[in-house]
Amino acid sequence: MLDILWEIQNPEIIERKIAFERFEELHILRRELLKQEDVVRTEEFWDNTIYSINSILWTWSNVPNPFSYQDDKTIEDHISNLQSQLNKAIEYEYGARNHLESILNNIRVLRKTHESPLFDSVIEHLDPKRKVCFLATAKSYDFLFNQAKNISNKWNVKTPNQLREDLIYDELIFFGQFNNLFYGKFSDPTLEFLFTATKARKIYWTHYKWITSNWKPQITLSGSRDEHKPFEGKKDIFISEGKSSITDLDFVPKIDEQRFVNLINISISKDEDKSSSDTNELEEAYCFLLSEKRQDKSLAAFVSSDGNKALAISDFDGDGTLDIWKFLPNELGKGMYILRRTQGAGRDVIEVIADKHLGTNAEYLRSRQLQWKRSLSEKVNSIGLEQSVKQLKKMGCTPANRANLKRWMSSSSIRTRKQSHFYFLMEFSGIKDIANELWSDMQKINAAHSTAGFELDSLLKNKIEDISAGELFGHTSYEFKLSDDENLGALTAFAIEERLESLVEVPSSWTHWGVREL
Amino acid sequence: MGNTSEDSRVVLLTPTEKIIPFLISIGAMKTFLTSDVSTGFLPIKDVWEQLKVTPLGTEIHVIDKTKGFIHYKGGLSSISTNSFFLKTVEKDGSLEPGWYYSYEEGAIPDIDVSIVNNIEFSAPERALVDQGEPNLNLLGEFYGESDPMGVLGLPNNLIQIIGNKNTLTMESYLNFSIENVSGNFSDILITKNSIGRNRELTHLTAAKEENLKKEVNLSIFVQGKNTNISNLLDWTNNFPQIFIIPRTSRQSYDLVEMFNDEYLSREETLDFLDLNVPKGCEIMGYKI
Repeated sequence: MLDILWEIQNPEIIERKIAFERFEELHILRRELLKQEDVVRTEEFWDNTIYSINSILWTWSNVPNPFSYQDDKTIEDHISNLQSQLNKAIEYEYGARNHLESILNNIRVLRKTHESPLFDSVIEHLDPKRKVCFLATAKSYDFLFNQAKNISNKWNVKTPNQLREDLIYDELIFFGQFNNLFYGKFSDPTLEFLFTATKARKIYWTHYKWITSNWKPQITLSGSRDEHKPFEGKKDIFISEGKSSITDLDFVPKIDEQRFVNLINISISKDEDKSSSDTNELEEAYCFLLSEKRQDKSLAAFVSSDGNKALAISDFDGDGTLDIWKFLPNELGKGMYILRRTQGAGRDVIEVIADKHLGTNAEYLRSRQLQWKRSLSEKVNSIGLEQSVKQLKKMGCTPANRANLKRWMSSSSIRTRKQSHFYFLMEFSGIKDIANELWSDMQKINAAHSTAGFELDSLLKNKIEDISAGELFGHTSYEFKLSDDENLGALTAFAIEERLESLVEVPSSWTHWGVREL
Repeated sequence: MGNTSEDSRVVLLTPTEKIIPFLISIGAMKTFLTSDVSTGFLPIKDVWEQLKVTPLGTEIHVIDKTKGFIHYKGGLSSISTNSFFLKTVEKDGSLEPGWYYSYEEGAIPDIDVSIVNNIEFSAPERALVDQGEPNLNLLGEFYGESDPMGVLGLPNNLIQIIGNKNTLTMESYLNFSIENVSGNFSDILITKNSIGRNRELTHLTAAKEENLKKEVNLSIFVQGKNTNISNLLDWTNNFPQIFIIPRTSRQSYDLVEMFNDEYLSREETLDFLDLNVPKGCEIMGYKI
């Protein structure tokens, strides 16, 4: 097998340019729309409209699925959005409303089409007796899987990550534009191995003929000689040009980041109206926009930037089953599923499991935890946050600062890292005489939390790691119960659509569980 | 390999990490067999003069063929005009194997001797026995041009391969056949337990700094699944290092960037003009 792997390092690349007039016409209409005087992306109306148009065109340009394929709910969401935008354009008599109407009509016509030009045109040239691999994305996995299994048992469907394993095929079929794999700073650049450490003797690159795409390998060793590099160090290996072509980067859907930051701020204001300021301590966090929508609203998940890792699900090791791995938030990106607690989210599941380990002591120990927090909060409220920080630092509690003091007062923290700091905190709170007992009690809670952490990991692995990856791909979310025996609530894995580039400040409770509607 | 020297670092970007570290190790082992790491196994009459001037305590290997094939390893404890002894066990008064040799009297034992240069033998507390037999056919196949038996006369921990230890160990035991001879990389490179627990020319280990052996002559770092060799970038023992980065690794982007930065900041780079580089394998090197 390894002999073959080395042998195929110079694969034959066959480009198949597919013509499909009705879809090309849609691209031309889009281009005409952009030429209109009043269509400017700096205006929210047009930014929103063009984002939806681009999202539909981008999806259709890159998947082999028929235009009528129903599993992709995001297409329907964008069509609904465009209808709503068209209504506004007509109501306010925007100059480009006719162009927008033509685009929407064309999209609706195409949406009823059962043709799948990319797939149909490549399939007729493939031999069912040969070992063929279709490269699938989350959107195309189900369609390709069902088609392939109906034609030949020698045909496989794999996601890019699954091909990290040493699998060998006669032919590898890649649909769409290269930027669908490599676009954006949050996409995974290491996926270029699909072409630079190829797994097939022939790679069929199948795309629409009017879209130009070019790409060159980025991961290359300085000082290595060109003749040793894949494609012998040539620049822009995959260049496809045609008459009146457009480049794929022209219509990669890009979000208006500021719009989402504004939506987050509005959501925070609404929360502040509802709850006390104590629970609304703000924390810096990464914002992940999810593929799933709820009543026309975007869903977002927030992960604290404090260095903690978040759980994500996908087939990371490429063995065909799901994996649950921890990632720093800056490592999470499009194509992964972020895991959020969505039912029974009133309390951290770790606490629930930890209390089970504390047994009959749980209630008493939690009351002790509450006791020192209450004493601390009373003291801080009486002299103010700034003064409290100053006094604590003077006493020798070196980690005291605004953020830590707020955290110590919050219900979730258990104790300080060092015993001496905890004593200073108790002395400051006026409960120095019971500091020893409290520390001992908090140690018990802390130990139970550690055990609970391991148990939770095990529960998650049991629930996830035997599931076929195909059950997840193509869906915007996947919900499962943590335990069949106990009421530990439900968790949901949400497909990540985008990540905001800038960090945002959100209430710390947002970063622990659930998702937010924006 | 080019102008590789003791403080060289070679970086490979490859389609896969499988098998490559073992193939490189075999190449290195061939070099060690013809280098001055040891004399290699020579008949006693050819090595006697050198043995006479060898400092006491030096690691010596003897293959005694008078009663089959027995491999002795120990420190030279004494040598006279016509005999020598090896200290194989720490304990004082323990039995020391020895051989009588007199060319003039025609007393020439059927033994081959290898002197490991510059290495003092540290005798174990108890006698060590090799449980397994060396796969001589396979050693002959791979080291036939130099000295197949010489491998047994090389010191422990000559090479270390660092990566996902479980994967490396599993790959080292995968059997293959070549020219009607079968075996595995563990047999060829003498990893732990291939002959015995105490014979380990090639050390396979996890990517943790505390596991690394300082005395090795070559370190091969392999980026594999669930490992991260970037933590070991600052480790050095003043012997050549090879880093293997498979393009399929999620860490390939970060690792290549790190090594490129290093490459650009170093004054002396290595050239590989005389090397036959396989397709899809990029190679670069510099002096640390």
